[in-house]
Amino acid sequence: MAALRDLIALHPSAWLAIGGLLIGVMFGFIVSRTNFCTMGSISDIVSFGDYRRFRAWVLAGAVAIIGAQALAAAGVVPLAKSMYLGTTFNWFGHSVGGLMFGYGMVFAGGCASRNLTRVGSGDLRALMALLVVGVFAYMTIGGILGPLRDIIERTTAINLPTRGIATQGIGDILARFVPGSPAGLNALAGVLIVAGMLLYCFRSADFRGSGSHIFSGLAVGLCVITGWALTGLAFDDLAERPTAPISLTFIRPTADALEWLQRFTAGMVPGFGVATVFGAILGAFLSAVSTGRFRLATFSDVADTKRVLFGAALMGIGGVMALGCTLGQAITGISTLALGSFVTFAAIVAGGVFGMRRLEAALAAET
Amino acid sequence: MADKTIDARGANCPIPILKAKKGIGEVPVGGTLEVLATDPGSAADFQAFARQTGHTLVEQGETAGVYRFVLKRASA
Repeated sequence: MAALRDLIALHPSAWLAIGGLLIGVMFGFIVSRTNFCTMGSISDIVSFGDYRRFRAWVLAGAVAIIGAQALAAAGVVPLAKSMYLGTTFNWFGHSVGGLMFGYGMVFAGGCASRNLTRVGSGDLRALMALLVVGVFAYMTIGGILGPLRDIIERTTAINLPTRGIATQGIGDILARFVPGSPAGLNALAGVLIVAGMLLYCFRSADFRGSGSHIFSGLAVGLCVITGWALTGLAFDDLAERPTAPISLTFIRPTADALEWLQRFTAGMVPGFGVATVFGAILGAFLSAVSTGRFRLATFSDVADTKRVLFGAALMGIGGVMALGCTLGQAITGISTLALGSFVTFAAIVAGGVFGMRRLEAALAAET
Repeated sequence: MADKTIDARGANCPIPILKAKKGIGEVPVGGTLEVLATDPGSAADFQAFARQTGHTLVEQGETAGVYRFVLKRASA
């Protein structure tokens, strides 16, 4: 592993760009082929009581936790340096942002990653959705909505060290209230959480009998683990501008990808996130072409256009407030065992269920 | 000839399924609902819908990017 780290250290930017592209291709191909869809999983539950795709999502999270924690224990990736394990707990952003994201993805035809794979199969409506996601994400980070987001964050976020808690990692939080070391409590909590998630998945005979769902959960989880391994090996704490370890997440990177396209001549090397965005589109494109499913599609009418743009705007704002999306927080984030990621996961699901009910009512009123 | 037809062409998930869920309740028991869709994910969605609800997916096909599903309403 040390030899690999030394090799990557020679050209870390190139490794992150090429590796990110390949991981993105793998992810886009898998999502496209297996119909893995976080919004679709909520639709399945609300529309007809099928929990298999949701269990595939949970399985992906469990696999990602196992992999990320193992990589951290082996010294491959310093998860503590990731953005998820910060010293503030932005409960408002995680909950309200997650709700907005979950609600929005129902109207936008899927989360950011789903829309990336739709673009790969020729859906121009998804391309428009992603443009809106990117613009609203940047508006929320440092644009016209930035000051408001900043005020809300500074007003509501809890500074954990002032309360005797080092970070929002579950081990650190538990160590404040029960005897034991943060690392030991983190490991114990991780084992219990993973056991609970796996039990939830595999106690279902329906899920156990569905190889494609099991495969999709395992494969998406492995994509996230691969991302952690790559960015962990490329991480250099002594670099002038260290790139924090990260794995698949698609809100900020979608916005960054738009910036990269517009400022290419400024000599910007695409980072890991930007590379995964283009990789996901390419992977879905390869899948669509290989199965004869590549077809150009666009908005069907004004109502469809309004729905998608509204949903995409909510995803852009909510995704920034919550620091991630259905992938970025609800798989990659939870793999660090950060409390905020679990809060966001729950909020996204709640927002998705609420959005599904609202969409169902709106469609019923249309006819 | 189906008892009712829903044209969900151009609509992405979850709209075709939500429309089918409403539409199947509007045909008589034993009657059929035809759904037209263009979302590539709809094939898997309608298989899961039929499997879970007990309605029978009596026909399923794709022509030039348009998916056609015919559901027969179950008694319950």
